[in-house]
Amino acid sequence: MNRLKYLKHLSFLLFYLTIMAGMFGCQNSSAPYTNEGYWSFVVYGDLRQGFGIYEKLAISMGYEKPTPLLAICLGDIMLESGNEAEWLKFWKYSEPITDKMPLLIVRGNHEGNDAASEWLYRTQTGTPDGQPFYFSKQIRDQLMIILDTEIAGEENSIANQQLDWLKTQLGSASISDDVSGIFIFMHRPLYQQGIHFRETLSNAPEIHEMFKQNKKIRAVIAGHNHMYHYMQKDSINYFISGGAGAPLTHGHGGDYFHYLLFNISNKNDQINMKTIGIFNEICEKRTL
Amino acid sequence: MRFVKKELCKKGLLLFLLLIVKVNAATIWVSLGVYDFTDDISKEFYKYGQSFRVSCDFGQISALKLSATTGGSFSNVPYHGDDHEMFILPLLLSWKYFLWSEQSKIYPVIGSGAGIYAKMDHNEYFPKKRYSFTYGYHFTSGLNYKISNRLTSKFEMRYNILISPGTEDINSSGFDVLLGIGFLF
Repeated sequence: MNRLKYLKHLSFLLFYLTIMAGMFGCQNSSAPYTNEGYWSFVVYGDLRQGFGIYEKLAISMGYEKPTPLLAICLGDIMLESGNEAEWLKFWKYSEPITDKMPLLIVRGNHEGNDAASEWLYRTQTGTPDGQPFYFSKQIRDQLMIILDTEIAGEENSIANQQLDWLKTQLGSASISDDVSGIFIFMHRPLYQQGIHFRETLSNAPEIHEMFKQNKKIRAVIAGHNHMYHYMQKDSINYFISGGAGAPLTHGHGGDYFHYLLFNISNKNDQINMKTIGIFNEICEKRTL
Repeated sequence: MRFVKKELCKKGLLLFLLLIVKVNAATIWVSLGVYDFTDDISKEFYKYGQSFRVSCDFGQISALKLSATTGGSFSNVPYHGDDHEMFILPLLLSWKYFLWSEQSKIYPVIGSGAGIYAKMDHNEYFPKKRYSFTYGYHFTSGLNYKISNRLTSKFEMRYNILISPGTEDINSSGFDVLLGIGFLF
């Protein structure tokens, strides 16, 4: 009789443990990992047919937890402008990213600015006719401004209509309570590095002065130079991230394939940046 | 890194010396060549490797021979302000079939086999060296040219299919394009 009771208790205990294990096990395995404390976005640039390296980085970006809310490609996707096959390959290898987050594209010099290349760019990026390739998008309380340094006749500058538009954007963002920070993305950096060291955007001083006046600008991120570089000028954070597959520039530092991961804290407004390499190694950490 | 390479080479050579002692009428091959990666990531990252191979053909049955191979493939690329070094050590067992008689001046050879591969990646920025072990299969074809009764030269192409382990992100499958010389013992 005692033995029967003992077996009953034992089987009840086993049943209970199984149910509990199942519940907790399921919770651990299927619930998405979320962290309400911060959100993130990823940035990369300059592939130029380095689709093998890019594929590896794209998979890593797709696996980031919590899933980034946005990915931004800083341009130079292709080697030859107007080549539809390269665009198709780019979208194929971008699937780990595009399956999980929206991808914004900054136009690079290799995307071209002749009529045929612009038509293809418009088709591939879904930009409506007549709309410029510079635009802004707000993600939570951060304003992302995407600039176009490749407008025909205005290459290597932010000028005319785009400059006026940028002034308006920065002006309205600086007085808006909904915007606590601004990130600016462009293909050509204001201050180039590596083999193009000392070359600048043709109106870099004017643009830099404008950035200096706006206290909400968190970072200005560009590609074009095939490397990673960070510098601070008058408290403006300038990043260069051009290592998503294009041949690297050696001998000037930052010569590794990478993408940038920005983590933005909701509570204390802290922004952390990591550069993540092709072996998933963290190459650099920075708090902005 | 150099110490590990030396040790691996020593052990490989020792294995082959043992084989020579044990087997009668063995041919020892020494080959040099290029390791051409077929995976996109490897090709873009490592570009290509330099290969050396030491093989021992033994145990002939008709036109069929067994062959054991070891050696190494190296790659050295600038990365992250340092040299990124990669080393693959294969231990392969193959069968080879001589399409024409071995007595001919020139005779083509085909074969295939399986083996194990050890790979090491090293960069100053890694906290430690990255090792991975895997297995794989290979298919080989070549052309042998008889210089004398005891001396033969060869051109060989070997396609190595490496089955990447879960921990290894970069697949190192590729072609070995080799030029070698063989001595009949």
